[in-house]
Amino acid sequence: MTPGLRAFLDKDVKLQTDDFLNTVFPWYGKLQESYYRLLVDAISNPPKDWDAWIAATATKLRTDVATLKKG
Amino acid sequence: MRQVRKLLPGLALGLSLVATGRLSAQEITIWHDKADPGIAMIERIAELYRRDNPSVTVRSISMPTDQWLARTIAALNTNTPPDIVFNDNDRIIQVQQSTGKLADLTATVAGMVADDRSHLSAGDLGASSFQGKLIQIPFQRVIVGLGVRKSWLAEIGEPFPRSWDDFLRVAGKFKDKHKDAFPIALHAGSPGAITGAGISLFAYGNGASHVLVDEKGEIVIDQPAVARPLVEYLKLFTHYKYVSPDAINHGFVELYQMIEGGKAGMFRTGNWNVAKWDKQPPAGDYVVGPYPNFGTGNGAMIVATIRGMAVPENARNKQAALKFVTFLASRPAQQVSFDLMGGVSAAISIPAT
Repeated sequence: MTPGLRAFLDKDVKLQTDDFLNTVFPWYGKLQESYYRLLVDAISNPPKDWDAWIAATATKLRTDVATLKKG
Repeated sequence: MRQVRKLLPGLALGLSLVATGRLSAQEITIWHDKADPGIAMIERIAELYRRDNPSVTVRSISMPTDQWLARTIAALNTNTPPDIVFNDNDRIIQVQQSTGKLADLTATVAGMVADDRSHLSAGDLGASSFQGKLIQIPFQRVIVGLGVRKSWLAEIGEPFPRSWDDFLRVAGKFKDKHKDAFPIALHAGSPGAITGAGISLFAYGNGASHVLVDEKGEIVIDQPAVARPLVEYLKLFTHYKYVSPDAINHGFVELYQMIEGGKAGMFRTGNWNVAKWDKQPPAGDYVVGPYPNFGTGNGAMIVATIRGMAVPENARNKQAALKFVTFLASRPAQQVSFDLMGGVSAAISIPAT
């Protein structure tokens, strides 16, 4: 066993499993693309108020989800 | 003639057992995309399995991932499937979405001996389920942790960062000490990378159950366990300037160039990376631990994929296949999985050092 691998076997380390919801919702990939554009825009043009950015981004994504669910 | 007479009772017994089905030879076929390591692992597990099941042989066929997916779906839909399919959980779920013909293995797990069943965590089973059915026996976790340059930590006299405050303090010191490098390597050049290999790791590490939507499809980015890691991730680019500004165009190639070229102090480390990285640059010059917690608790490593084996409802040797996949949860099978594919599981976890 290599030293690097040993860290992954520590039984006391907390593990959080991915939710794998990309496999559940057929529209997940399109939502992720919309989200990506908003994230890259925030990196290129950082908002002054991050709390307001989070709220506005969540609202935009909820609109996207509603549209995507209608298919 | 005397020798023939000596052999006759044994021959008769053998024929009798074959007639009653107890020794009828069965060949289990497994389709996967894990190439030589997967083939070697299955061969070795099959050897162990044959000690108690001498009439069963196992044949494994590896093929490119796209081909595996297309052939598996077509075969299940035309009633010509292999007996078992082996792959990452998201691909097994894709097969089930397209065919609905993978067997529910809930009763198979319930029938395992308790010690074997204890090797399957709730997280393993949840990630192996789809629409209320357990569709694969999980036996290999693919885990991601945070890697930090050991020699860089020693230079600044800091331990492995456990909290977000620790993380930022260490990154700041790395920035001061290594002006030709970046404290953190990220690759954010695609939707999958910026979320799956970036924000998700910080959010899951912080204990979030979901990072974009929940199981009802509702947006969760404004929930506290996600919002804080999300904003801090973006500020690594915009405010702290701890990552390369080019990272928003980086893919795997650029990411690994930074890590292996000694141009980053902290980076994503998967259990599939370490076999190489313990021998070649960074050549063991790193420590791996959980992603930081943004509050006061412990952070987590992330189970990014769970590989398992599934049995088609219409498999020719379905009963034999169900019995074989049960064996995957045993300690000997999981040890082989670890030795030959680096597959981590609860069966081979070790006490903290």
